[in-house]
Amino acid sequence: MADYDLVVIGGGPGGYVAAIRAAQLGLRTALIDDNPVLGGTCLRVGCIPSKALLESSELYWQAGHGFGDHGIGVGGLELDLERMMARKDAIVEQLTGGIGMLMKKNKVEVIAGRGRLLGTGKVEVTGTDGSRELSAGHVILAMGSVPVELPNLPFDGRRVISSTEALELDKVPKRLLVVGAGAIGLEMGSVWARLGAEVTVVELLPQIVPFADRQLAQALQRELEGQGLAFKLSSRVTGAKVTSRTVTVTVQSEDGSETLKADRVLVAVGRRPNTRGQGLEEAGVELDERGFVRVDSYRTSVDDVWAIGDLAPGPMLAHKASEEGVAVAERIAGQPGAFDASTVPNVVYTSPELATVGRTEEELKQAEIPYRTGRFHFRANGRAKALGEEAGMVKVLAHRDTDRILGVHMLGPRVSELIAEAVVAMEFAASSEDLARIIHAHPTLSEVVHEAALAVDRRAIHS
Amino acid sequence: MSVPLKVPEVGESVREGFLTEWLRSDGDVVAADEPLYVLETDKVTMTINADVGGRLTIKVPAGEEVEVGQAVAEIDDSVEAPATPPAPEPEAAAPEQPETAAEQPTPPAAPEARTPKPAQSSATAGSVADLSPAVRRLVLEHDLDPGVISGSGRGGRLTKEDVLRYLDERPREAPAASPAPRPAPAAPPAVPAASGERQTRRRMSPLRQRLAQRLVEAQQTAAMLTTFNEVDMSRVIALRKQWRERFRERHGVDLGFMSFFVKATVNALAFVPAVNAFLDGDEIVDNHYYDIGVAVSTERGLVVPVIRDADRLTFAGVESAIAELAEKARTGKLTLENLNGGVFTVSNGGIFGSMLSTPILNPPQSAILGMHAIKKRPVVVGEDDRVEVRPMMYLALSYDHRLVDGREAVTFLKRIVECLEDPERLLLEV
Repeated sequence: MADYDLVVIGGGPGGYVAAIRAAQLGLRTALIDDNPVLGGTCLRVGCIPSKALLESSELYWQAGHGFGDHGIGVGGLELDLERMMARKDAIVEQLTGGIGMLMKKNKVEVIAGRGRLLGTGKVEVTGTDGSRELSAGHVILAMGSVPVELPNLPFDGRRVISSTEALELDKVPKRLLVVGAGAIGLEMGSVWARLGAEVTVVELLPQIVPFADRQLAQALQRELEGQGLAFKLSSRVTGAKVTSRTVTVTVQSEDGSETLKADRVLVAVGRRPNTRGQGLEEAGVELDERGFVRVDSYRTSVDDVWAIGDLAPGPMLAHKASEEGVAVAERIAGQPGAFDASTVPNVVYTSPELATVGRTEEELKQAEIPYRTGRFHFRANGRAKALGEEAGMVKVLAHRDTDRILGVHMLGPRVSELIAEAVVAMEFAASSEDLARIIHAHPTLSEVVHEAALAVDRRAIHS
Repeated sequence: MSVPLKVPEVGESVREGFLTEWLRSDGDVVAADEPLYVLETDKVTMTINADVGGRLTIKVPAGEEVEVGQAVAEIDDSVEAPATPPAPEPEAAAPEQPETAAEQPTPPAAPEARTPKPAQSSATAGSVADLSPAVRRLVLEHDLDPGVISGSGRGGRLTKEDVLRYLDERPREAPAASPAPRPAPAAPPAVPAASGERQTRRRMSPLRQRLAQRLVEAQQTAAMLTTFNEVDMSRVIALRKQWRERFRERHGVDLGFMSFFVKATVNALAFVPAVNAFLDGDEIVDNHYYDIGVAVSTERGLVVPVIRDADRLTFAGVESAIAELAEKARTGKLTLENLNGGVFTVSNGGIFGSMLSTPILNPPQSAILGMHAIKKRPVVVGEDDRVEVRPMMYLALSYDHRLVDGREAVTFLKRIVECLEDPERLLLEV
């Protein structure tokens, strides 16, 4: 008999969730991670610490710029960055510690070390006490992803940094250059801009948040510009000179070439699957040309070896990885685990937040799917007005003939929470009329979703 | 008292199947022997009826795998069943008003405006509350029985899209827009093309899985090859034309081509007994009976019901047997007894217009006859080598060469051709 029914390599939100689900289903499960702290990129150096800093920096910004409107004067506003970072670290520590507890509770054996797939049912783990081989009925690969490096702007961890270092700067940069206007670039750019940095974002494409609905992306850009971020779109970094104190970056756009000086450069041009140097190909695991593991319903080219999360194609999102982990664990246990990639929500935690699920107008046009659009702005919503956060809108896209909801796009306050309603609706193949006929509490931000759904049929009440 | 509705024994060696469709909704009042759900097994698809009448509580949703003996629903037989099975009678259903309506004092002679025919929708009222808001609106607005619409949402839930499609397709199917629920919506769940996906995935039905498995098995085990011939159908066509009316008057069935082919097959099997045999390990089993399978295409896949003792049947007997089996296949009422034990199969690809094909054996049988489309072709006939236009059909005989020699196969097929070109041979046995 094999040592384990399942060995999971990688303790991020894909791997640890898969391990818990497998253990719940009675599989003897081991989880291998080379970091003594479980949780992966997301919990240690991604989603969670960035949210902590976004909240802290937003409060700081509000204290300086927003409280006045409420009639609150703040004298002698001070930034204690060290304490802000300590709070962030404490949150990370609590959550990652919690995962360790969850492993114990579910009787998942955690093995510290570097896991390496050898082939079907065989994993080598190398820890501080040497290497040993484990046998397993099934193996789930969940090693996640790593930041993509720009060849002409390699990471040095000091001046040219990735998201990991951007979460623990010991002082606010004077000028921060962010390369890449995706979720990571905009979130970290926002944090440091709110704390006082002069932030310029360089993006290769003509639109920030390229996966988002264009109208909302443009609206978000205007909001961020209002907060002091500068954008250089359709621009490419062509060269860089790094000294001990500054980085001088040459940026090429249609308008020509210019040099930008910054004391830090955050390169956030994307992440790549962590498949290099893992011995995967030697074990027979086929990769595609972009380095993702080739999967067929999460099965790799090696029998009984599965790949989930950032290793498998699709958006690199923690919740996508977790759901895939659950689905694969269930399938290993003989259940019909399923995963629907068309209803993965995607959130950018800027202010206002951007949240999206399903297809954008641009995608629908390209696919020549007839649709109707319902829009409703937060500025006409009582709760948003009371919050003093009136920017943004909700846009509901529904099929012209069947009324089935095809996509919901949101820009505005707390839309990271509001998007859940749209995901539920889409999972149930709901029509815009379904949303329109469901009661939403008043006064809440969710009324904007309701009104946008009503607006599909041109019957919004408050517009 | 609630009586569990268990999956019945449907035949030996069948232990499980898929409950593919509920024909009535949760909360409906059903009559004894009324068709309740469709059970699909690897052998056969059938409709299962209610054991007793009463209020139906569904335990297992459509699309689930079920085992023989498993309770898939409960029927509360203390609730009086309507008199006629499929259409819930307004009177009988009236006491089953939704509780809310019953608790509220009803203003006399003032029915609620939104439900103009409360009695008719009441049988499904329990499930109307479970519908999504837009579906609820549509169902009330059009006075529909949601139980007859097939749902494409999670767990078979109805989406607005499903109801719109149903409304769109309804006029063609039921022009009178009868308020009575149709007993069995035959339409297979449509692929949600509106979502615009380039690919969608569907589960393979057990019937198709079994079919696929058997076809591959046949390909892999038998030394299969196919011999061809062609048959001039002039005489058969002339006979049919001449006797069609009288035949129908006398026997109550149409004189089709199939009876000629089945009788010709029986004749040829008697002529070349090697074809009426099969291999069992290292033994040869010779059949001394003539149960002929006829491949029938249904919505759920190919099935091969068997005509028993075709040698003892008249032409009319063969035609009625085929008519009966085809009807059963269409309505999903074939039983295992209808499918087991054929010695030879006749497959008619001609109805779809096939000119020539190589049929795959139906194990453990050793041969299968493929019929094809009748096409007018110039052929050389007579002593004087005239070229005439004749209604021609290609015939294919696939056979297991391990058991049947080429000479036997060719002779067999030639015999069928002779019997069809000179049908009096069947009468005179020459």
